[in-house]
Amino acid sequence: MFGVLGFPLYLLRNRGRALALLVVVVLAVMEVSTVALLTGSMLGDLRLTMVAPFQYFTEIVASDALVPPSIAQSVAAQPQTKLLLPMIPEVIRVNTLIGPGTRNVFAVPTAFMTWFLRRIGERLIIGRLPAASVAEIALPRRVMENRHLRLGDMVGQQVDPNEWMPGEFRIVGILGGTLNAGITSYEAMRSFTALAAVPGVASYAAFAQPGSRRAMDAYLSTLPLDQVRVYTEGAEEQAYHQDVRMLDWLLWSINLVTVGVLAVAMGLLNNLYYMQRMDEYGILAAIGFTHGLLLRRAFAEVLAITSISWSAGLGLTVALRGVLARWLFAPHGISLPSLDLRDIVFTLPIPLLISVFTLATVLRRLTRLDPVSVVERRD
Amino acid sequence: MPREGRAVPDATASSGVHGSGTQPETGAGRVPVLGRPGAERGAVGGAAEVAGRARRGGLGRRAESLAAAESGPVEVVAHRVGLAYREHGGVCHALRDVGLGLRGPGFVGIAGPSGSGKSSLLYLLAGLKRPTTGRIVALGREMDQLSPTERCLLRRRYFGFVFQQPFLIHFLTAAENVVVGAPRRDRAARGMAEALLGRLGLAGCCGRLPHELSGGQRQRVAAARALMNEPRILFADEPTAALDRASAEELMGLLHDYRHGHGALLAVVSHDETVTAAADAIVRMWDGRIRAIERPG
Ligand SMILES: Nc1ncnc2c1ncn2[C@@H]1O[C@H](COP(=O)(O)OP(=O)(O)O)[C@@H](O)[C@H]1O
Ligand SMILES: [Mg+2]
Repeated sequence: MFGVLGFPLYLLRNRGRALALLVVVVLAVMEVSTVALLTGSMLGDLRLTMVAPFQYFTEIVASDALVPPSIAQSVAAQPQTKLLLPMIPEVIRVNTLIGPGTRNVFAVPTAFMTWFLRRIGERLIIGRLPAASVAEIALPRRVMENRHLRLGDMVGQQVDPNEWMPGEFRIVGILGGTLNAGITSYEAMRSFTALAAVPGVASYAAFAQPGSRRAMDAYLSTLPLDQVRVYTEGAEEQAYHQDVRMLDWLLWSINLVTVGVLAVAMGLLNNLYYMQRMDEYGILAAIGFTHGLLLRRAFAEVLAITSISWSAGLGLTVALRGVLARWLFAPHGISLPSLDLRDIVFTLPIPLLISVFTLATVLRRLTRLDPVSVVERRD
Repeated sequence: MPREGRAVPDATASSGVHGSGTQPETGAGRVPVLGRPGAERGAVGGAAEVAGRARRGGLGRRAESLAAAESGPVEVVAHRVGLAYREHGGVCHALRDVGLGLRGPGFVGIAGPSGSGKSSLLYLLAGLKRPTTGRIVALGREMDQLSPTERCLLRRRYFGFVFQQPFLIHFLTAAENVVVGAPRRDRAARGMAEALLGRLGLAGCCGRLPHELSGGQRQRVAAARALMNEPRILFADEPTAALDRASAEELMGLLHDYRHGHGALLAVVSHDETVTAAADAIVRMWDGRIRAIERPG
């Protein structure tokens, strides 16, 4: 491998050619991995806000204005139901890679706040929980950092017209946990909604008895659609996957077209390189190097340059993301994943397709190589 | 001694070569004659020479197995071979019914006008091409029965090649190009290559790339590459055609030194009479046939 016919010496002595391939592959890897990053972050956000909460509870929202008390009573009376909690789902604005995004804020009765937080896997890390019926809020640490908020700051549409969440809430606590959801008082939030003056509940969170989630959801799904809408984990997961499948399908087709065009271009370039090197391969065949050996040599060269380029592309991507994360995104409170499986999976077709295309053409050339036609040529 | 069935003792043949082609006396059914049956540069002597080198480790294990399998002399035989090329609709007969046996050690010249089939004959003998008709036996092996890979390995182990153009690998230095010809491209081969280049007066050129060398220097590097596997048969096709007189003499001197030193067979295609003048036998080609075999001296 490291001899006079090894690929390291070839690449070293033909730096111009190697570099041309390297630059193109590196740029392609960086482009594709950036697309992968942006879409990955989009899907991650979508999952966090639209799917993740429903692993803990099922949401029941009035189709019209209020959930009929009879329905609420029958749900609460089901043996599978552990607790039916009045809850208003709201969102707070955050900055994301692809622009403004949201994180959940749940408004629940103060008496159940601690219980609710424990159920959704969150905990208070600094400050205190919102007091009963007071416009206070506890926000996750990541949201605080993202929005550059501090304890005591005010959030809500009344202080910031760009905010999603109505009203005006004082931040009194910071939460930790994976769901990144905030919590506030049900009574306070209700007073800011359009239904403030009307008695009744517009939405509930239904918690199931241990092991009874499926049964509870099955029952909830039978509720009359004209009165309530039910958001179960299964349905939300399915809806998410449908969205994701469309997006991923679109992405993969764009990706494959990019990679395909690139592979053909690089394959043609490689083909040209090998055409120019048929003298070299011809003389080697003439003096007795077997086709198998020559093929292995060509394959090693191609695989080496493509895998080196791919690794360099990923390496540069990591470096670039590090710089961007530190100087551009960190000040906006956005964290940037350095490199994940998605980048690998999306960019891997680049070296693979280039290699396959090149190897196919090289294979054709080498199997048809007649050393005599090379040594007979006079120049 | 020549083995049964492949050699026909011929009292009239008295050198390392005998051929058949258009000659009426070599009629159909007659096995082409293999050289002379013994005497001065004896067949047994040739084999012993190779075996001796093998025992000293010069050729390594491969040569030992060869020496065991081959008690005869270095040889390659063409049995009534023909070579036809398909050419825009028609067929071009580069060789017709040529019979020839080469026995080593020695020096055989192949001469003839351009297009007479000299190169074609050399390619067939060396296993670079397969005959359309007839068969080739090289070093006791029926070429037809060898796989393409085995034919490659035969060339790599026992044959050396010098062509009209040096065909050096452009990005490798002179020494590295020579190493390409070695059976194992290791540190020892590197030392051997440098020593060889030193003996060719190219000691200062080891690290130079081909484009930094003159034509004569390049051809000497190519010759050095051909010697790295210590070939039993050295095939050269117009090796001096692109060289000036001095370079040509230098190159031929080098090839002769090698064949003397190693008891090898040197087969050279050339239309330069000064190159073939020293040959033990000259095969004269004409229109795809052997017109005559001359034995100068
Ligand atoms: N690849 C080829 N295709 C067609 N004809 C060929 C080919 N190579 C050689 N020939 C023909 O075969 C004949 C012998 O060629 P060659 O052996 O190269 O002759 P020489 O080496 O004596 O000049 C010539 O007539 C030549 O035109
Ligand atoms: Mg010729």
